[in-house]
Amino acid sequence: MIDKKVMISLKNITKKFGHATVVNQLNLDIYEGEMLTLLGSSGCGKSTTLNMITGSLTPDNGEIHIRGNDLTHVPSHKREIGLVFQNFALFPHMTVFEIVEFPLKIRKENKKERKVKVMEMLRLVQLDHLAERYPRELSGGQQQRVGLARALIYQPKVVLFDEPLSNLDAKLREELRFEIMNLKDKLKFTSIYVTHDQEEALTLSDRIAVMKNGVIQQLGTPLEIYNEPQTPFVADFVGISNKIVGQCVGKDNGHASIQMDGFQLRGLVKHDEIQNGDKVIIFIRPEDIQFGNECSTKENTLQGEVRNIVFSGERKECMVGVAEGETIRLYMNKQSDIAIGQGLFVHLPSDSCKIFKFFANE
Amino acid sequence: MRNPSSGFLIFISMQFKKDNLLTLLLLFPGLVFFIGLFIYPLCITFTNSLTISNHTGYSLQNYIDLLSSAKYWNVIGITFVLAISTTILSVLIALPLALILRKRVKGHTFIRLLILLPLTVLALISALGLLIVWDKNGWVNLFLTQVLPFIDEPLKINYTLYGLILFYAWLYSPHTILMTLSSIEGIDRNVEQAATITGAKPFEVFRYITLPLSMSGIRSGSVMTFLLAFGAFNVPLIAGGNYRPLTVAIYTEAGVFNNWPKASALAIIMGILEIIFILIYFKLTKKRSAA
Ligand SMILES: Nc1ncnc2c1ncn2[C@@H]1O[C@H](COP(=O)(O)OP(=O)(O)OP(=O)(O)O)[C@@H](O)[C@H]1O
Ligand SMILES: [Mg+2]
Repeated sequence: MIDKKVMISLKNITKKFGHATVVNQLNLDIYEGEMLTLLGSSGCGKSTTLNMITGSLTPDNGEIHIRGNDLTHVPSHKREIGLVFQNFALFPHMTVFEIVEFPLKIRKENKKERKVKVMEMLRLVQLDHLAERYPRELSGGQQQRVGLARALIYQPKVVLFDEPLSNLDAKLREELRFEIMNLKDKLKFTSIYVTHDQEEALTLSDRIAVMKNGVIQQLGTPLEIYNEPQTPFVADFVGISNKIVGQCVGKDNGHASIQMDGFQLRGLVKHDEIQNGDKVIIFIRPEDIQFGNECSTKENTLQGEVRNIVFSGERKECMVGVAEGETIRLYMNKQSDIAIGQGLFVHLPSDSCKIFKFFANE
Repeated sequence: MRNPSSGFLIFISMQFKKDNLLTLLLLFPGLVFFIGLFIYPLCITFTNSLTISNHTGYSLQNYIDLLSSAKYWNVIGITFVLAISTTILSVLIALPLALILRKRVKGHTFIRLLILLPLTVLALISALGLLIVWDKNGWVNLFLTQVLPFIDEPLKINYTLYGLILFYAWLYSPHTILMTLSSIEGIDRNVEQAATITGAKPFEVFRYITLPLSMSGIRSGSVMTFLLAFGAFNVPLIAGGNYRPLTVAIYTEAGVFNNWPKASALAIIMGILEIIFILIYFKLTKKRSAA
């Protein structure tokens, strides 16, 4: 990421609908060739941000630069951007061939060249055998491949994706995800990928921007976002975490001791200022939790009882009750012969316990 | 016309099923109406058209007389001119209007109500009202000559062909407008947005996306407008002046000259012309909306 050229630059973008501020003073630089994901829950302003980049919406404030040119007030059709839609948005009265040809047709390209280019693109998305079909005669996955082909055929330097896979089933999603990555490697475009699916974000992106209420909460590589959440929202939203609410009773260099009903835990405080007596929330990922049948009397070790087991295919997920009303979720090998009701010691490594100020969950 | 006839098909296919008594009973009123009010009068009209007043026996003499007379070709011509210009005008009004209304501009509900207005007023009353408004001393001309400094002569609208087309358009374009509006408002905006983002200028989006996708609505609406204009009677009778379309000619034959056979023959000719025209129209517009 050293010395990369900035491709897209959002400078202090604000967008309001009526009184609601949907995007609030957003600053973001996307580097050339990068795939950046905007990750956030429904209604947090992801599509609005994309629509401002494509030109469908005009920001109330701020500027949008692409390759250093201010495009804030340039009409959509002159921006040379590709967009892949969640609901495909194919032209229902055209065949697959005509749809993919459309961008070239309005660029008045030579008919023979058009045909060669379109067929090549259709081969790339594995649709060359369906060129004469209408969108309604295609499956969802096939339709989205057409959407991809249409967005890529005119070789835009910037391609935007607005939840392109969320209308597809899980298997197809994964398949197409890899295809998008391959296409990106082949065609070398810069892209912003909008999704609310954190798995998609983690696997696809070079960097992730986690959004909430029109503000970027954290910007970083998938690894940073997953391992080092800077806000409780990010910790909660990305991946699965156990959440334990308690009260701070002591602090020592970067760590804090937290008192819960009937037990105490030590954890890492990094991004929030916490005082003794504050109400706090601890996040710990299930895969970081260790467990065993014996107590090694280490700190952060709790005695519990298996309350529930869910087999998810690749592993067993156990809910272990450790105190009155407190259960902890952890992952076990799928071969393990754990049974409901069995007693268990669980160890929560203190460096994996991330402590944040308690926040009202909305 | 479509519903009763498809009802008839259901009726026939039903005969081969077992428990169809209820279906038959339910279809009965519709069939009675359809046969009694449409098929039967049509047959009567047709047999009538083959007779000649004060003669016995059947012949095609009425048709031969009508179709070899320049006067009636003129009538047919006027009828088509009126109906086709009204239809074209209605499409020209409907498209821009629909494009504006779907943006939900300020006051769009009011305009939507206004579109329905011509449908709520009786054609007869409308015709009289329009004559008054557009009269040499009517409101429009008063406004033009008194208020606008550069217009001295009152516009001649009443009893002119243009005036008549204007009246027709007022009365019959709501059908085209409503159907066009509903089909244009049914278009997924994302589809047009997609075209824009791939580089299409606003006109290209209209030409390649919006227009083809609203073609079905424009087509069915304009066919209704055409049929209504083709069969308009009150308005040309009152406000037509020298321009007498088929309906008025039929009325004159039957009502004034009491020549029912000739009127019947004209009516049959009118029906056939309508059917032929619609078939051609659908064929022509089909290519564009093939989807
Ligand atoms: N045209 C509009 N007029 C008024 N409010 C709007 C408009 N478009 C979006 N909004 C509001 O702005 C907020 C953000 O919308 P946006 O479409 O950007 O969300 P999103 O992050 O893309 O969500 P999702 O994941 O559901 O697509 C929502 O609360 C929405 O109701
Ligand atoms: Mg969205």
